[in-house]
Amino acid sequence: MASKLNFRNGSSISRFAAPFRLLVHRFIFLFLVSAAIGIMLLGRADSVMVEKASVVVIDLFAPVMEFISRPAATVNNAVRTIEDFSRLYTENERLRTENERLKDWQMVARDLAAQNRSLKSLLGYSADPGTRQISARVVGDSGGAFVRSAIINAGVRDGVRKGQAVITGDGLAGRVIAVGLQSARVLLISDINSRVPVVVESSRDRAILSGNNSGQPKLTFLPANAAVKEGDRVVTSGHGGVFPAGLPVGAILNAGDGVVRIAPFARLDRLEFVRVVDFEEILPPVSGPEGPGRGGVVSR
Amino acid sequence: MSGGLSQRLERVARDHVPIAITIFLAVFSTAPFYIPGYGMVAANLALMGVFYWSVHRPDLLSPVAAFCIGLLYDFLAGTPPGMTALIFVVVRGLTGAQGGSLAGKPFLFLWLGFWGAAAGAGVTAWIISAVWHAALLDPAPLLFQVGLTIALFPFVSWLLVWIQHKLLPV
Repeated sequence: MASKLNFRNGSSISRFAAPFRLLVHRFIFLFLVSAAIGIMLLGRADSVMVEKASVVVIDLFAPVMEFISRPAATVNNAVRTIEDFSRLYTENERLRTENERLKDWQMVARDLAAQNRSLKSLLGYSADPGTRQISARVVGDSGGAFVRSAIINAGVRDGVRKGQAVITGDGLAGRVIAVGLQSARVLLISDINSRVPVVVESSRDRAILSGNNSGQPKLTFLPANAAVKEGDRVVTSGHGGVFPAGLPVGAILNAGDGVVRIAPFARLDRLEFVRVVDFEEILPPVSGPEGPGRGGVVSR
Repeated sequence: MSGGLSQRLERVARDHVPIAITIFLAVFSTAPFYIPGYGMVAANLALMGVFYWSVHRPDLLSPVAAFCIGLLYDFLAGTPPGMTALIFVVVRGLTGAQGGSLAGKPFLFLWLGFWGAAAGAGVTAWIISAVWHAALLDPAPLLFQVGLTIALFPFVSWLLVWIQHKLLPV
């Protein structure tokens, strides 16, 4: 490199400058390697600062990512349309039978809803705070081999906050871990860092859903005597107050060999549209003379 | 004089083509393709850009640019911040030093050189990610990713050759 420059200019100044240039290049190289390692250490120790920087960058590139992801989405939709056409008849039959079944369910549900309402009024039950949902499109999803996260095109200005649950029509997909003005990063429930308090719907056994970077996260801290079986539905428990309770998560794949894995309902590997659940966090009640009240400071 | 200015502006613009293309490749590798499982094994397109320009036009892709593009990729992809920056700087440094020996050779040599770069980048990513998450990570998705990156290199580099000949000043 240096000799090439030397040859091109041929001046005596550059001949003297060549070794100096080489030294500068080596210094820059070493400096950049140390900077990269420094950023890694900083990111591990104080993730807030690095997270803020990453949010700014994602925000800046979100419109570009959205633009790039459009054609892919269009092709995907076109392929799906053709697929749908090819099985229109069978699909129609299936839907017709399902519709019959759902009508029965609807009657049951209406009946139960009425019953539930009257029983609640008898008990003076206070309902969970209402939830609001924010729709968003996934504009980035390829986090590489060891990360399961996605970038969505909704941020602070749409009401997205850190910690909120992200769902698809099928079930829980993940949780918001960083928010920019117009974009946010979602940590999927399959990521190795993801922990979600859940409950097995039928047996009411509590557990923690721990991601392991595979498509089948596992249930940890499940009670030893838990009576769970294959196919049992797992839903969010609402513990920790971050997620609303009862969001469908997945079905148990296998139980018995020690490790209980679940198959998530949400198709995590082909997320397209998601909804962010804006859920009002329930703070622990305040005891003492201040009296009860949401949002109060817990004094010890 | 105005002709001179516009020429100079055009020259500046052309000089930044490699950086712009590599940034585009970095953003493009994080775009969702809605193919089941693709996100896990998405080819590292930006690595191809960094490698190609380090061999053919190291003067137009400085180590600082390689560092910044790597950091950009880390932020967009959610990989440990600094990891890809480190990989790109090392690839730029090593390839830039060896670049002269690869530049004029048949494509096969360039590809073989890229095999080394992609494998080295993969192993580095695996080690750093394992330390970062303090867990032994399943290397299978990474093997697929490296394989796909190597397999796609001829197509991307063909595109880059075309860009180099069409747009870049000699």
